[in-house]
Amino acid sequence: MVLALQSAPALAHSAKSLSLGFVGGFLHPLSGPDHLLAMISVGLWGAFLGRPLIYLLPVIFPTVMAFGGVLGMAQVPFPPVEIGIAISVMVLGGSILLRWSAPVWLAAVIVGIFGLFHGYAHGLELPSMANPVSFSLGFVLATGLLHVLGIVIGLLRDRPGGERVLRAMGGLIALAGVWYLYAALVPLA
Amino acid sequence: MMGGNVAAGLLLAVCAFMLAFVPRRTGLFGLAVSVVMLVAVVAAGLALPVKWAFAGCWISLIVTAMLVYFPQGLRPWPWLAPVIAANAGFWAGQVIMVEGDWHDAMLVLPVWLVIIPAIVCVTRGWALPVRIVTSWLLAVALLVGSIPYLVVHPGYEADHKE
Repeated sequence: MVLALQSAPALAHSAKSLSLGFVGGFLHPLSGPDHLLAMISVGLWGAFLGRPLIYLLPVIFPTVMAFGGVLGMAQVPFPPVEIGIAISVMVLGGSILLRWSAPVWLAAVIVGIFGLFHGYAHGLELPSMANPVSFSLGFVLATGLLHVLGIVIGLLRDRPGGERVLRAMGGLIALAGVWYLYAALVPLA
Repeated sequence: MMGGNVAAGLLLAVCAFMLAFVPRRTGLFGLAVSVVMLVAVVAAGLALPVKWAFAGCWISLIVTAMLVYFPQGLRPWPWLAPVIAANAGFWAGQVIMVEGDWHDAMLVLPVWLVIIPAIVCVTRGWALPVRIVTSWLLAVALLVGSIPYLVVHPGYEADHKE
């Protein structure tokens, strides 16, 4: 009797699945520092490269990421995702550090490939969610806002000493990428 | 639960963005046609099979989004914008009918208000934010539209509440 009184109510249908799906999706890219750093780096690198990539990259990434998500949901065989995501952090951070002015097509291809890996990771987790529509809406919105944040941070470049600060940030992001790559490879060894 | 209201909202938002790129009078006419079509579908209780309704919604969203990126495609045929808007209203009404009624339609209709900031952006030469947000909506559509055709998802199965 005492135990029964102490039990919590069942929440199988809390009528909040839409908001939970959206919040869960929104927090998904924010909860993984590797995703978060890569998204901000896309915006930062776009700001470094200027027009047209400052706006092309944030358009290309979510669209290609969605294709990656579909591949993940279909469980199409794919190279190890964690390694791909770690390389994306490393390369994007390194590109900012070295101020690499990649040609438009090459930058678009690089960011597109990385978008596939990030999308694949999201896609693997999407089907188990209660409400995939709101979950997708949440994580795509968060991803897009992280790109915008990266672009806003990238505007520091026009301030005195801003470019150094940004390149230093790129270096730190690249270092984090090296760590993620190590962490991804060690279990394989 | 398939999120019919959210799907309809996404489609109407992209349609509003598309209409922001056409001449003002055509855009407002398209908006009116779309609203009338949506209300007519819901009022008449026309309901296609669930998979058809969602497939139509997502395909319409992709086609409409393409016109946000390439609005010059509408210049030779300006009458096409209201037709596409009517199509959006029809499919938005269909996905609302999957699991809702006219109350849900009333909840979704305010999404049309995004046409106001979109028009402000486009007329000031800031089409970029409109296109970036469209790419987000397109990404959501690609992801969510694929799910019913790929896996059996618990959220799509009828449960004891339905």
